[in-house]
Amino acid sequence: MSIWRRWALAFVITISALLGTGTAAQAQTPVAVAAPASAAHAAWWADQRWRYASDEAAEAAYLALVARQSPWPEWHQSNLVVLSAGLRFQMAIAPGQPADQPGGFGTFDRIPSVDYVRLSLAVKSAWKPAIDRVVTYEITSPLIADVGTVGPQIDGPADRYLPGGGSQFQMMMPAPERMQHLRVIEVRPIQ
Amino acid sequence: MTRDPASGRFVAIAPARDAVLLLAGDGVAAGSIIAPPGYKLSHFVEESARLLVVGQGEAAIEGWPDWHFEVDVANVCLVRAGPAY
Repeated sequence: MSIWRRWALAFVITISALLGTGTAAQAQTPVAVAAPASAAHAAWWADQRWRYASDEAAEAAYLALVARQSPWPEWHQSNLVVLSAGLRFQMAIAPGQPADQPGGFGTFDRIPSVDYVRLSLAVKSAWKPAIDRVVTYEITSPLIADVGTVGPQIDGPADRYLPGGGSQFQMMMPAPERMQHLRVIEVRPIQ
Repeated sequence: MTRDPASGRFVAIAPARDAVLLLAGDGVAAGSIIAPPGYKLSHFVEESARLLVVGQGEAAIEGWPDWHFEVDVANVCLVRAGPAY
């Protein structure tokens, strides 16, 4: 290969690489359509934008989350299982809430603090304004539940993004029957 | 027992969990607000301007079995306010 042909080939490769880099950079730059308007929105965007093909799709997903506040991530598919007797789980409860009147959701995680409840279990302040204790329950007879991962939430009044990611299950029986399947093992305070 | 900030009335959840009791000055029940059909009342949630009570449902609505209800003493009713976890 002549010296001129080698120079020409190197020139073409360099130009191609530069153009390729520019294209990739443009593809990752958000379009101005959905500039995050709040700290919570910006945090959600930084964490979740990658899931969607366009800024418009991401913004639609964000608005749907704010409106519908599903406790499950968008990709969750109902996963009904029978939880066996002997299995233990934890639940954060509110001041004044008797341990024998549990809510509908539990976690297989150890709950160390109220911050953990807010961030990893994504419990919005509107859903449970105050939390003062954690109850460990044991399942005493088979319990049908939808099991999966905690979805992210936007805590509007606090302008806070709650990323979720902890484990959770939703009991699939009428609320008054919950304690027919459970017994209280331990109640402890948390802050 | 707690006080409803909107009306100033003392209230309590009935032992059968099927009503909010409106208490007179001597602590005796002077009336009640019946829980919505299909709900048992669990506990109060005190806010600065209103009092909520958590109702635990026999069936989920919009995916949520438990809901907050605002205690409306003036109109003797419970008004659905939002999901409860």
